[in-house]
Amino acid sequence: MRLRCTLFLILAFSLPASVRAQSSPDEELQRHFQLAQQAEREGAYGKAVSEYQAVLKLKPDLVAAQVNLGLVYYVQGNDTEAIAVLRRALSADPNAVGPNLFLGMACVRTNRYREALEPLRKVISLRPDESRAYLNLALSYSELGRDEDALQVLQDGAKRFPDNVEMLYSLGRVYTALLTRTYRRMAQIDPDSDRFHQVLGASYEARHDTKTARQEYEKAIAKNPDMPGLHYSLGTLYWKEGTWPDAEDEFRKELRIAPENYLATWKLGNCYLNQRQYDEAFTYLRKALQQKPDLPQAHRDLGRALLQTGDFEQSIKELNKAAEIIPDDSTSHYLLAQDYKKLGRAAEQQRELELFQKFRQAEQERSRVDVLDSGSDENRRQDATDDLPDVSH
Amino acid sequence: MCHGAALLFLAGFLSGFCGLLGSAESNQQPFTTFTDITKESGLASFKIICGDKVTDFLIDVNGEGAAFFDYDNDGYQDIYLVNGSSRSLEKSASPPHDYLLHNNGDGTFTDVTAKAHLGDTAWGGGVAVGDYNNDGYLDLYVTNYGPNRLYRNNGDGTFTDVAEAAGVANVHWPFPKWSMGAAFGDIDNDGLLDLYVTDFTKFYYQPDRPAPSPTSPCKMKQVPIACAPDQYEGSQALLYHNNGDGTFTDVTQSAGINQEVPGRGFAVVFSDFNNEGHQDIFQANDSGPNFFYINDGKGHFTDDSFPSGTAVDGLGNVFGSMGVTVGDVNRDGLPDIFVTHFIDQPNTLYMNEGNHMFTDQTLPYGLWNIGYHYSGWGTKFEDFDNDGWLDLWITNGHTMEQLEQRYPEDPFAEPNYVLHNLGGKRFVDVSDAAGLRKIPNQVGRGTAFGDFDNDGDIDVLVINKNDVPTFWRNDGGNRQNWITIRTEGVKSNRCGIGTRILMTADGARQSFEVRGSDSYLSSNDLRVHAGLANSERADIEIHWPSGLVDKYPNVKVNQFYLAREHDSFKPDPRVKTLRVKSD
Repeated sequence: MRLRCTLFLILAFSLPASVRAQSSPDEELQRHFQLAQQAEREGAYGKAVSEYQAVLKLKPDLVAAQVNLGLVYYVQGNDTEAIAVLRRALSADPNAVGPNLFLGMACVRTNRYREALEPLRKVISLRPDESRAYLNLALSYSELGRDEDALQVLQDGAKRFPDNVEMLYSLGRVYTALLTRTYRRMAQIDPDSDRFHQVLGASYEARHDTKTARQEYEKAIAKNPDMPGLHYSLGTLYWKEGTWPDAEDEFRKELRIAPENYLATWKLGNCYLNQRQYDEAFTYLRKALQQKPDLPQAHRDLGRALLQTGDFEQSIKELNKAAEIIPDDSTSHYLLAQDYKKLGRAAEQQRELELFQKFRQAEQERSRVDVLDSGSDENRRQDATDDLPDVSH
Repeated sequence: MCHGAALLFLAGFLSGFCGLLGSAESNQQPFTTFTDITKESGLASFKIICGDKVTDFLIDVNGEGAAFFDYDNDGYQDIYLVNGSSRSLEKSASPPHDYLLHNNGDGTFTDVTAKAHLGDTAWGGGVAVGDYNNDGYLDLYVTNYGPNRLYRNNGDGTFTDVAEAAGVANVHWPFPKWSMGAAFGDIDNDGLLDLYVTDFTKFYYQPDRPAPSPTSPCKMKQVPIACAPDQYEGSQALLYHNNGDGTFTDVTQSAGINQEVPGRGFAVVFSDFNNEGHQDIFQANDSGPNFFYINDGKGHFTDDSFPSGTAVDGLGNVFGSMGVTVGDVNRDGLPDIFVTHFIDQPNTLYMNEGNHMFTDQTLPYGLWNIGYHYSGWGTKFEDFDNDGWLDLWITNGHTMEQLEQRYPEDPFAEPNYVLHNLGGKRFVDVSDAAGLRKIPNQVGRGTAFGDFDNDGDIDVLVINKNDVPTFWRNDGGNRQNWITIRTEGVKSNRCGIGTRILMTADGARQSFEVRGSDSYLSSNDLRVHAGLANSERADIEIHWPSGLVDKYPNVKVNQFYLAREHDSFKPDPRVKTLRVKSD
């Protein structure tokens, strides 16, 4: 149905001009053309084909009939015939957008990716707002093993069509393909390298196989104990599990190698906070904020530490800073509500609870992306941090 | 740094608490041990069914509960086992049924289900115990997928289901309503037990939530599983007011517990969280915020879930809450709350700060990591070693067996935990030393607690999914002193639910509440059991729901007592056998 509508749109655009330019005084030709158009409108594509063929028998070089016949073939799924007749039409008018687009798409559908490239590139140059040209051209490049070219096309397409889900999906697919290819190449070159073990660790971690992830990170560290990022990754694994002493050890090691790693600094502070070791927690959380003043996680944890140690006014200041950076962060508002409750400021407590619930619901909606793969583990914040933007180190 | 801090903590603990009653270090007593007596007690004959071999649908997941209660007033705790069912068995000639097991007083039990006119074959969930008609015999309320049962105890060893006539069968939907937790409590202190029933989800076999298959939309870690609770709408819990004539009235709306977005309710507890003499309510919800209702004393409730801090954890995380227990962990006189959670979610300890304010203290009490990777169900604060501090039990069991094939670290059978309370400051895992690791892990669900052998320490009955229960006898808890009190209300409800008991010994005061229904879908020995370490005497103060207060000074330890409201306090005449200070 969608294809049919698309076809009529294109025909409505192209046919009247063609007919006016090339109409024959021959009445029989006119009659066949009109019958063909009527059949198209009625979805009687078989009849439309025979009528256009009758037109072309009377006037073989009538481009409008060639174009329309090609489109009808495309709609029917008769791609081989569509390709042949659209090519004939393009020999007379190489820059016609519709024939180029449908020729390219018919080539894609018949796995003739190399032949699809030229007409689709031409469509993009002639009419850059035709999203199907980007998608089919990128697909053709991917199928030909030219992922970098596909990436370029889709990045251009995603800029032009930022809300086109199909474009974003295809872009994600190409990124994944490039990533996989890159990692496979790493494996071929040195499957026992520190970096490859690090990659495997991250991969297993993403698949929730923490035991194997830990083993891979440990192998990477054994190969290269001083490589920045490895102890941080292993520490984060422990941290997610709540094994604070082990996480602490790893973050400390990371900071000896890369003292500028503000995320390691913050997470070390978070470990101490989780163990109610407030002096150490304050030290590292404040240090993290010296390193990265707009790190919302550190503001939030500092607010949490101040709340727990009874400095409610200062806690409110820190939590408000976190909420300024991430206004819809529900946890900051929940902690603010606790501060106001302690201070007996009921109206402000109520306001913060309402914001918390509003943003929590929004987070739940967002988490539906993952809900089918997470059982009932919805919208959980691992130590108030998973929902904040993390910065890969 | 961490270890150093731990040492500092220990030093502070030793110096600060060695003079007080009941610190574990003061008397150097080892924690108690548990012995698996499932076979010798006769419980190995009673398999509890919940779904077929493979967990296909949500109804196969939740499991069942059990109750310790003395149905025939012979002084021994009998056992009621709720049974589930399965698609292959529920329409068979002999579908699974609930069991009533009579305590023979010699460590064994006899199946008296048929004799007692019991044996419900519905797909059961939970059980609550209370004397709703004040006739001196404990009655049962059993929750089902479908009509619930109110089994009136006839006092002659038989029961009669009066749920429909009493108006508590809970049938409200065109499809079977799915009740889970239930609890008796007197919401207006009129001397009659009212009833709160949680409902789980609007579940039936919806075609868009199919059994696990590669094309099913429901997965966990990429593995197809039965669709999780959050794929179903929650269902409104119901509050029934006891009319005193054998019937109840649904007061859900007028009492103020109607929710715009109903929870997916599991466990529920009544407790007087602010020591005002009124029973408040906490409802644990799966995949949604918990509910906390404050009672105004007239049976009308205010939803204080979020302001109280108990709806979510300390950071605002919403978890899958399953079981709940209430107890005064730090002896400040205020009941605290512990909630068990789904896989990869920390359980949460909400410490009561008074004035209906709670603080998440899971981390400092050492509980964040305990069972983090497991799914928690039954749980209870009990002083298992009688050292004067409430310890903690956690029963675990995965929800889906499909995962362990791909992820061995996600086993279906999971370990249970017993945690020792160190002076009200921290819990430590003593499961191994207590003997819990001597048997293979199982898929635990509901858990009931009680002193079945009347030896002065608390035993544990764990329900396992599609398996026989595990019966743990506490051996050695009674090395330290204790007092157990059975309450009998006169103006208050007959079994004394909601009664607050303060027990002071050697300058240290503990507080308890008569409460049957905490843990998960289960009901516990209604007698209040207090561990008293080395103290020989205790002063007892009893605050009845009626408002009357009875004081009994200088009570001797290691005895079962009967406290009759504003009347008497004496050794419990029902308890015939007594072992004091076993080896």
